[in-house]
Amino acid sequence: MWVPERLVELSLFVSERDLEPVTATIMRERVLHVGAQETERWSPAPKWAELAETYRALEARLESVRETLEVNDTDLPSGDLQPRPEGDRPDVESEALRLETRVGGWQDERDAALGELRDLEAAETQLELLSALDAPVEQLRSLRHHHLTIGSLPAENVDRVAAALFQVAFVLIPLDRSGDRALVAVATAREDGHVLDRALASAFFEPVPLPHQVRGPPDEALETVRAELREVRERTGELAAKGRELSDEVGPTLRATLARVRLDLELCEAMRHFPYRDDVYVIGGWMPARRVDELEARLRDVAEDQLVVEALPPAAGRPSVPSLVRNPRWLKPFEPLVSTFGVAGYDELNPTLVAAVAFLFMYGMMFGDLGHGLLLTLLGLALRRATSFGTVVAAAGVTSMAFGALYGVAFGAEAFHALWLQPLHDIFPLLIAAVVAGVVILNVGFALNLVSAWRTRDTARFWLDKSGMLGVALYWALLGGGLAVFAGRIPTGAWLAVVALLAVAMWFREPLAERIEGAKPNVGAHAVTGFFELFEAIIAYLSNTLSFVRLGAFAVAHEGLSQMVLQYSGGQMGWLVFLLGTTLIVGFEGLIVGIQALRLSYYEFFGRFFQGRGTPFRPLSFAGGSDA
Amino acid sequence: MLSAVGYASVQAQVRARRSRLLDDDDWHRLFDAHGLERARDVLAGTRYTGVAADVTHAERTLRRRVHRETVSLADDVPPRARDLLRWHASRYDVQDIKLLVRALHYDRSLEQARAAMTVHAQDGPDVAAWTRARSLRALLEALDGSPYGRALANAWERYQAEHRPFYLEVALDLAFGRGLVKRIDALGGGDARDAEDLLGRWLARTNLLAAVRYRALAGIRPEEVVNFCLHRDFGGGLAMVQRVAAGAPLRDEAAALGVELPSEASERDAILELERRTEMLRRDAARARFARVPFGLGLVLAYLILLEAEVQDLIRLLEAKAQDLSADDLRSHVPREVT
Repeated sequence: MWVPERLVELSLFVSERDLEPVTATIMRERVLHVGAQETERWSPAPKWAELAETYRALEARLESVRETLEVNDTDLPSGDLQPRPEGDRPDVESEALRLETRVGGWQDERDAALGELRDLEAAETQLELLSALDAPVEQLRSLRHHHLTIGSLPAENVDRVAAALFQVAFVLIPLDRSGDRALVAVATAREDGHVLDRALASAFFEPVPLPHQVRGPPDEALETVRAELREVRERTGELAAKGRELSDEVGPTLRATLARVRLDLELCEAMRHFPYRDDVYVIGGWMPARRVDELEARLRDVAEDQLVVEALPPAAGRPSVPSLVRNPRWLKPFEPLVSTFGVAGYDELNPTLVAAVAFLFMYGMMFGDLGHGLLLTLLGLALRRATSFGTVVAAAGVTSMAFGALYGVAFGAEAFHALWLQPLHDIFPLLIAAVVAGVVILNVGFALNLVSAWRTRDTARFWLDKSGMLGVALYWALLGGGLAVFAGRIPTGAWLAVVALLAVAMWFREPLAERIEGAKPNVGAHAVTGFFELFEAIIAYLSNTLSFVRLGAFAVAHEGLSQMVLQYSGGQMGWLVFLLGTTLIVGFEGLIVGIQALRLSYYEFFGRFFQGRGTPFRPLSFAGGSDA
Repeated sequence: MLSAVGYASVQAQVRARRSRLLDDDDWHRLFDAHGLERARDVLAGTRYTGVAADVTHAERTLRRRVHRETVSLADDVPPRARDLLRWHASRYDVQDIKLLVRALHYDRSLEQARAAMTVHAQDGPDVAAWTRARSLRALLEALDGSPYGRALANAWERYQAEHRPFYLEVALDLAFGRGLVKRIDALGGGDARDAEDLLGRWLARTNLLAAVRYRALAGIRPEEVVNFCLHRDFGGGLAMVQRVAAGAPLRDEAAALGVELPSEASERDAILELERRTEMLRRDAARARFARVPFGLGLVLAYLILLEAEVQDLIRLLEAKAQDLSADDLRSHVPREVT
C-alpha cells in the first residue's frame, strides 16, 4: 500500500513452437506489462504482423455478415477457446467463406431490391410534382433555353447551394426530404449551366434522373411507377423474413467463429512485437515479483520445448519501470485524489493513504458542522450506488461531523458545548491552530520525501533537496528559530548566523549535489540561479505554511454563513429560507471547501515529496479479461 | 454561481496541470540544447519524460497527450461544454481519417499511416474498426453512423466521379467546422462568450485562410469556394466568404478580423503571415483568459490551447534539433515568445 508493488524485469526465451500457448497463458494471467527489449540483432518476425492483418480482414468480413443479419455480438462464446492463430487459420477462412456464400445471394437480392425501391420512390416524388404538367416527361430532358436538374444532396447543403450561386440567377425548389438528404429541382439559364453544375457538385449533389422507361404524361407515368413500387415493397418484405430465418440458422456458428477470430487476432497483435532470432522469441517486460514462480509453473505446463526464464530486479534509476499500485478496497475511492495529479513512479511512495487523510482532515476542519456534515454523509451514501466518489463525500461528511462536535456547532447553531474551539468566538486561536496543522502537514511531506530519497539511495536529494534535510533544517531555523527569538529564548545574532549558514548551503546546493554525484561542480554557472532559488525556497516555506490559514478562515466563514441562514429562517416562510440556505451551504460551499482542500494537497503537500511521473502498469491481456 | 459549481472539479485539475506546463527556463534550455540528445535530456526532467524516452514517436505521443487530456477534462464539465470539448478533440480523428484516406487512395503503406495517427485501435471498438479499414469503402462503412462517416458518405459520389481525395477531405473539414459552430451556439452565458473568444475567432480566421487558399493557391471557382467554406464562423461568415471568392483583397478581410497584414506583402506571403498571426492571437487569448474569472469553460479551453501550442512547438523543436538547426534559427521557426 505504501509503495508500488515490487516488480522484476522478466525475459522469457520461447521456442517458435511454444510461442502461441505461452503468450496466450501470459495474456490470461494478466501479469506482464510488456516493455521494450534491448536485444541487438533481434527483430520481430513479420509473419505475425501479416497474420494479424489476415485476421483483421477476416474479422471485418465476419462483422459485415453479422451486421447484415443483425446478429448480436455481446457475450461471444470465447471462454474455453484456445487461440492458435496459425492452426486456426484454414478452418476460420473456410468458415468465413461458407458464411459469406450462404448469406451473399440473399444480400445481393435484398440490396438490389432496396436500390430499386429508392429509385422508384424518388421517381414517384418527382412525378407527383410534375403531375400538373400537360407535357410528356421525356420533353423535360431536352429543354432549349434552361438548364434544369433534379437530384438529391445533403439537406444541410440546400442553403449552401443557394449561397454559392450568388453570381447567377437561379430557381431552387426543395421537393422532398428523406433522412439526411433533400430532393431538389434547380434551374438556371442555359449559359450559366456550368456554374450551376459546379455549385451543385461541390455541395455533393447527386442527380436523380427519371428512369428511362418513364415516358408519357406525368399522371400516367405515376400510375406505372406506383404499381412497380407495390411489387418491389412486397418483395423486400419477403426478403426481410428470409433474412431472419437465415440469422437463426447461421447465428450460432457466426458468433463462435467471430469469437475465435478475435482471440487469434489479439494474440497475433501481442506476438508481432516480440523480438525473434533463430526460432527463438524473447518476451520481455515487467511483472510482480511474487507471481514469477506461479507464472513460470503455468508456462512450463503449456510449453513443449525448453523455456528459459530470467527474472531480474530493476536496475537503479531505470526510468521506464511501470508502477503497480495496489490499495486496499476501502482506499480505492480516494485514488482519484492522487491520479488527478499523476501516477506514482516505481521508486516513489504511494501517497493515496496520506492524501486521503490530509484531504479529509482539511475538509473537516474547514466545513466543521455536525448537521451539515450529517447531510453530506447521507448525500455521499446515496451517491455511492452510482459512483465511488460517494465514499469520498461520505467520509468528508464524517470528518465534518467530528469537527462539528469539536466546534459545538450544528446547522450553524452553537447547539452544545464545544469540545475544543468555537470558530466565531476563538478566531485567533483557530487561525493559529490552522497554521500549526499546516506545519504538521508540511513536515509530513518533508518526512515522506526523506523516506522516498532514502529508499532510492538518492543521497543528493536526501541531504540537499529543498524538502530534504537541508530544506527541513532551513525551514525549522526560520520558523522555530524565529519563534524562539520572538520568545527571547535565543539571541538574535546566533539565530541569524544559523539561518545565514543554512542559506549559503542552500544557495550552493546544486554544485554540492554535483559533487555528491561524482560530477565536477560548476559553481559559477549555479551562483546566480542558486541565489534566486534560495529566495524562492524561503518564500515558498513561508507562503506554504501561511497558506494553511485558510483552514481556520473557512471554518469561521462557514459558521458565519450558517448563522446568517439561521437568522433569516424565522417567520412564515422561514423553513424555505433554511432549506435553500442549507442546500446552498452544503452544495456550493461544500464544493469550494473541497477545491481548497485539493489545492492545499496539490500545491503545498504533494509538491514536497511526490512527482507523479510514473507509468501505470498495464498488463498484456485479452479484451474483457479480469485482473488476475 | 452555477458555472462555478459545474466547473469546480475541473478548475482544480486545470490549475494543477497548468502549473506543469514548461516554463521559460525549460524553453531556454531546450532552445540552447545542442542536438537531439541534449534536448531529450532536458525533456527527461519535465512532464515529458515519456516523450524523451521515445523521441522517434514523439510527435504522435505529444498529439496523443493533448487528445487524452482534452477527453479527460471533458468528463468533468457540464454536458454542453463536454460535448464541445469532445468535438474539439475530434479534430485529431479528422486528421487521422485524412491520413487513412490518402494512404488508401494513393495505395501507400497502411502500417505507416497507422503509425502516424493520434488515436490507437485500442482506444475503443469503433476506433479499432475504422483504423483497420483496408479500403476506402471499408473506411466509409466502419464510420457509418458517425458525423464524419456521414460527411464522407455525402462526398463519396463526387470522389468516385473524379477520383480525387480532396473532396473527402473538404467534407471532413466542413463537418468538423460546422459541428464546432453548432456546439458553440448551444452554449449560454459566460461559456458561450469564452468559446466564441477562444474558438470562434480562431474559426473565423481559419475560415478566411481556407477561402483565400482555395481561391489563390488552388484556383477554385467562386461557387465552389463558397461551398467549401463555413457560412457561419463568428466573424465575417458567408458574406466574407463570398467577397473573398469574388476576389476581395485578403488584407481588407483580415483587418476586419483584427489582423493587420503588411501592405507590401504578396498574397502568398500575406497568407503565411495570417497563419502565423492566427496562431499567436489564439495563444494570446488563452493567456489573457487566465487573468479573468477562474471558473468556466474558458479556463479549460485556455489551458488546452496552451498545451496544444506547447506540443506544436515541441514537435517543431525536436524536428529542428534532429536537423541540427542552431538556437537562433530554431527561434525563428518556433512561434514562442520566451522572456
